[in-house]
Formats: sequence, C-alpha cells, structure tokens
Amino acid sequence: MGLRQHYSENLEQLYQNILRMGTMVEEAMKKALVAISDQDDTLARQVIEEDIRIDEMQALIEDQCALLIATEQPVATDLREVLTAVKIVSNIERIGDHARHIARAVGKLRNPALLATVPRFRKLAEVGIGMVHDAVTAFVEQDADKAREVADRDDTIDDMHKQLYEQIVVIMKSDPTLVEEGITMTLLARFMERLGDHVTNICEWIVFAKQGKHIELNS
Amino acid sequence: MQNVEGGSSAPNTDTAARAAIEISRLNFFYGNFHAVKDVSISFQTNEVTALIGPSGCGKSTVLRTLNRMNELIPETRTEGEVLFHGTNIYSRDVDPVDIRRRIGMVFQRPNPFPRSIYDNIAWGAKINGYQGDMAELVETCLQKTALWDEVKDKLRQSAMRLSGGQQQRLCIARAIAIEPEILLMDEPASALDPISTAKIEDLIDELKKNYTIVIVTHNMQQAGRISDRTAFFMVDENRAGYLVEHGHTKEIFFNPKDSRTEAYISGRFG
Repeated sequence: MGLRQHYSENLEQLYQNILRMGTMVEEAMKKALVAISDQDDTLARQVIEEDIRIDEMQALIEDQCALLIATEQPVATDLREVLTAVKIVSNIERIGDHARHIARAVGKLRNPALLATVPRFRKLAEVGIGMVHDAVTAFVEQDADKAREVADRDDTIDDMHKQLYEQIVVIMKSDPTLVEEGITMTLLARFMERLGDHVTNICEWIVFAKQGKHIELNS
Repeated sequence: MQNVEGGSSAPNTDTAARAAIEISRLNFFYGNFHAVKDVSISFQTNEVTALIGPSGCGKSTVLRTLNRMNELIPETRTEGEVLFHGTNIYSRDVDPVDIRRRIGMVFQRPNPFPRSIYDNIAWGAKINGYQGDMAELVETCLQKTALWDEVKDKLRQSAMRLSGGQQQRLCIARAIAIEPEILLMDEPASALDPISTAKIEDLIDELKKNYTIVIVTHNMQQAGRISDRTAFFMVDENRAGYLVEHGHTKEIFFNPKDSRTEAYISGRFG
C-alpha cells in the first residue's frame, strides 16, 4: 500500500461521483431536447422530477469534499483539486437546472413559426452538451489543455445564440401575437448561452487545480 | 572576544521584511559525515520561518548552526557563514556565549531548571547582568508567554510541578528574559497535547511582533498555521541534507514550485 492510499481512494470515489453527476446532467439535457423537439410531456416531467437527484448528488459531493478537508487536510494540488470539485459541481448543478427549464417549456411552444426554430436551438444545445461532457472528462483527467480547448467552444455557443436570437426577434416583429412564445424561445436560447458560461467556469477551475492560478478563459 | 555589533539587545520592532540572520553556503560535518550541504537561506526580521523535511534532512542541524549550538557536539565542523548584523558568527573573535544570548533556543522537551518558577526566569537574567527590577521582569516575561495568570500565586513553587505545556511556556519565558533578538525552536510542541500546542502556537504568533523566530517542526499543519515562510529540506543519496525550496508559506502549501516539496507536504513521502 502506497503512502496516502486512503486519501487516493477517497479522491477516486469523489471523481467517480462527479463523473456520475456530469453524466446525469448530460442525460437530462438530452432528454429535455427530445422533449422540446417532440413536445413530449411525459419525458419533460421525467426531466423535472429527476432534477432532484442531481441536487442530491451535488450535496453528496460537497459533503465528501468537506470530509476530505476535515479529515485529510489536503494541501497544494490535493487541496486545489478538492476546492475545484466543490466549485464545478455547483456549475454542473446549474446546467442541470437549465435542462429542467427546457423541460418546463414543453407545451408552451405551439406556433409553427416558433417551432421551426427548435432545430436550430437543438443544434446549439448539442454543442453545449458536448462541452459539458468534455469539461467533466477534462476534470477527471486533470487535463488543463483540454479544458482550455473546451472553453474555446463557448465562442461557437455565443455565435449560435446570437443567430437564434435574431431569428426569433424577426418572428416576433412579424407577428406581435407571437411575442409570448417568442420570449419563451429566447429564454431557452439564453439558457444555452449561460450553459456555455458555466462550462467555461468549470474549465477555469480545472486550470486552477492544475496550475494554481486563476485565469479568465474567453473573457 | 568580539560582541556582534549592530542593533541593541532590545527586541526589534521593525516589521519591514529584512534579514535578521543569513546563512551563506553552509556545510556541516559530524566527523567525516557531510550532514548539511551548501545551504544558503535568510530569515526575515519579525517573521516566523518553519524548517520542514523528512527525518535526517539536517533541519535541526541547520537550526543549531544559527547560534553555534552545534559546537557543543564533539568532532563537528562548520563551513560557510552565518551573518548576524553583517558579522559572521563563526569568526574566530566572536564570543559564542554572546551569540547564544542574542539568539535564544527552545528545545523539543521542556527543560526547566529544578528550581522555582521565579528562579527559572531570574537566573538567566541575573547571570547576564540584569540590573532592573527582577520581580517586574519575571512578571513581564510570564505575561508575554501567557503564563502569568496560571502561575502568579505560585511563583516560588518548583517549575517541575507545572504541566508539560506550562513548562514549555516557562522555557520560552526564560529564553526571552535575556532579551534575545532571535528565537530558535526545535519542535517545541511535539511533546505536548493539542491544547498546549495551540497555546504555544498562539504564543509564537504573539512573540513574532518582537522577535524573529525559526522553528523546526514535523507537523505540516503547524508549519502552515504559524509560519510566514517555509523552508523545505531533503536528504541526498549520501544522506546529506540540502535545501530544496524556501518561500512564503502560503505559496509552499498552496502551489509549491518544486514537485519534491509538493510530494512531501502532501504526505506522499517522508
């Protein structure tokens, strides 16, 4: 048994839980997208109900981090990794909330003109889901270069968000009765733009864990 | 014998970061054994510097070179310089007794004299020619070490009847009674319980306002808590101790530059 085997095992378990939480959020986002595309109420309800499991996982991971700090007194890279874990699960949880927000919008979009924007929204969200997946992987692998590369993709999210937003504005201007549904769609688009920001935060924390420096990615 | 010039024997209250004592290219030998290799390091005034490292890395030896305490061990040899107020304390004309008065020491195990609490403080001061009010000095030193309230009614009682933690604080009070500029501490809390350790740590934090403190500790958390700077020592393949990294404690414990420092403070070797 090597030195600090017990700590390494606890850290490994922590990482596995973060990976699990990342996968739960990724799945929630995917289901929410299917629900909004297919106007599937049942699936939407499932996403909303399952959000509590993501919240519970966040609390579990935060408790694990607190226990590691209290009992193992990590320092240097060990400490930065635990601090990073606390920060990134909070960002992952917020992404989970966005999946729930999308699910809640199911049934609120009825007009064909606005439903026609859903595929573009879906493409935007798929870029975001890919970022979530790769950011969590970068954390588990402690790969700062990968984290930087993932954060770079936030520019793509911003561009796609802008295009979608402009499309929705044109629709709303053409028919004021569509404003309510239009606002719903702009909010969904905005959630994806925020998702990009959360992933960027995660990436910044990964760089911090690895290099001990706070940096701004995509400032 | 020459007394080291510069600075009065009064505690230094200047808080600007400047070296109180500096080691330059120090090598130390026990007979033919090269125990410390090429160490250069400076200790800043009114700061606490912790010396850390695995057993046998030479940190206690380095500490003892700072007041020529190693000379009391037969067949030892010191090369290099230890500069105190610009003078090498190993110069032939420097009086080691004067150096040990100006640079006091507290050891791992409390070692009070088997006399009264009062005498433990008064004796050193008397021998060093203290002319002032002795009762006042005793009270001041006990106040400074947060021991006064616990012992003020039993000053004539044997120091040996105090608890380990109280004895250690008495030893610190005894060390500061002769008004040193620097206090060297060799694992001063390692034999104490957590409460006594916390009192010693609080005391160190208080004392650094008036003294420069260099402390050897095996307790990483203690080094992190009490020191401003940390020096990490290791031992090479010939068992000679050497300095790996020296810097601000917050840097050493949060983002050390050297991977060996990181591995040691994270408990991955040592």
